[in-house]
Amino acid sequence: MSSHREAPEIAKDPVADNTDTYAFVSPDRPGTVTLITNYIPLEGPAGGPNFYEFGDDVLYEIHVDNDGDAEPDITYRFRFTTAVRNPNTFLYNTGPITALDSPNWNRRQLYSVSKVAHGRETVLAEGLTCPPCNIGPRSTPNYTGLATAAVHRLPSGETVFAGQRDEGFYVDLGSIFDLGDLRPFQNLHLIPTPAAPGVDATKGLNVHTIAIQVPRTALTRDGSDPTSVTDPRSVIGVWGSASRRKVRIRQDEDDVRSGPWVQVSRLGNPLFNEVVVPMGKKDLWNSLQPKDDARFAELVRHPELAKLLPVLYPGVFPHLAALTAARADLVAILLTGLPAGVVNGFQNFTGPTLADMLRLNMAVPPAPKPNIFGILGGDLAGFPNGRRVQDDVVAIELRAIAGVTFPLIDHTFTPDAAASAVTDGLTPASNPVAFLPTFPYLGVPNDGFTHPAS
Amino acid sequence: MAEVSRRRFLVRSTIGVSAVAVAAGGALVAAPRVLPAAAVASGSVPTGSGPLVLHVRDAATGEVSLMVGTTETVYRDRDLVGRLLTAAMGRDRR
Repeated sequence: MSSHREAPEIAKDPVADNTDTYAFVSPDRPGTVTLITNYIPLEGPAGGPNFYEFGDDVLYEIHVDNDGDAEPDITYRFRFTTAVRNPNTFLYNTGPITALDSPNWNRRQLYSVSKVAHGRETVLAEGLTCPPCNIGPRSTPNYTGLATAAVHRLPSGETVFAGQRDEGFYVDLGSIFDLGDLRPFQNLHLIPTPAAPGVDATKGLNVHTIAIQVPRTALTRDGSDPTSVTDPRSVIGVWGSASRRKVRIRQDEDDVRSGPWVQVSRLGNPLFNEVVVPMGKKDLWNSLQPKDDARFAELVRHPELAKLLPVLYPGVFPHLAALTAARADLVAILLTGLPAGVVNGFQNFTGPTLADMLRLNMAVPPAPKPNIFGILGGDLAGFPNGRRVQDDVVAIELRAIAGVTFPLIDHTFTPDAAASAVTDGLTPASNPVAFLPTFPYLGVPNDGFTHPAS
Repeated sequence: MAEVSRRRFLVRSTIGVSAVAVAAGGALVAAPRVLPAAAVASGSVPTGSGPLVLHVRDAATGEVSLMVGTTETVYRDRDLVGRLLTAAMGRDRR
């Protein structure tokens, strides 16, 4: 998955598990950039009576590097507080929740947003309301209205939302984790079965989203409005994280938490820790900062998956099998950004520092008709130029690793014919819940009554 | 740092050391402030509000870390560690 349960330790701590990170120029407000980090993987909508919620003891952060050193120049921090109206009932709600201040809603969450810049933290807002989880037609009869009311415009210019959303990341987990099977091509697998359509394993599931929409001028290093694609000031690096206090002591009533915040999850590019980093280093990777990622560069230059594909699909990837050179193309995509001259009219290069960040060139305008294959599909506004909610990052990264992008740095290399066709067989249409045309863009979460089992 | 390894070494302490448990320390992810024992004794460790948590990182060298709020300070105090170990082993209990 993108980064759902991708490392042994964080798989046991879903509230802090950063599952997806997105960064894109807002299609309906192109003067802004939308930054999204998701947490809590694979939420079953019927998961009550204690429905999913953010951790009051977790520090959620979205980081932005705007000068290429892979260190955060701007960090947005989100801290949550749970309020229980009546502790003497087991119910999440005692009647229909028709408004965010409904007395029927027994367990709600509030949050604060602060911004850290130049070493100073400024509180932007406090006491913001999350929407409830989407329970069912009796409990949350007008969920869209509740969620809309939970979109907050801040006096400082940002717009924020924190709460449950439909899981927009589409992937055929059931096949991919069955020895790298891709159903549309499984007739060619080492252990073949008839080809079949992909199955969206996240369809019908939810996630918890933190989204913030920020004026572009608030993200550049000098406050300028990015208009030139070639201008280094137009490029930002983005990643999300979750941290817990170093010490927790369990005791009868309130637990004790103390010590510095310790990062337990982070996410820039999708699938980096999932697919590139080996099992023995995944927990370490989650604890480190992007500026430390040079130690993982060799794993990008010679990715394990590129060696597996020719084995799993015998005879399908002969050119990839013969490719022994370091994958400078993948290093550029994942660790430095693409320098100017590699893709016509585009760059998102942040300099020589090797760091896993989503790199967004904010001067590239939103595409009127987005191509889910992003830059591979000729759409410069899509992944790996940042990441939009609809981008097919599974297919893009599979194709890149299969060799499609290697000619960018070696024109003599001819990718295997299959490399540009690799897919798990899914599109956004595989999920009946549509993305929204406006903030927060991820779709209305599935309710537990309609989706008792996924 | 893994949650498991963070949990296993905890030493809970109030100023009066009401309850202790000592185990071998692990590597730190965040770089803590490191102060000489004298600095700690002179009161330069932020006390703030909330509990004070003491972690014996290395009983052999007397290296301990003190956590108050979101700060962590590391220093060496073999005498303190010796007394804690004694208490942990059930001696000198009142």
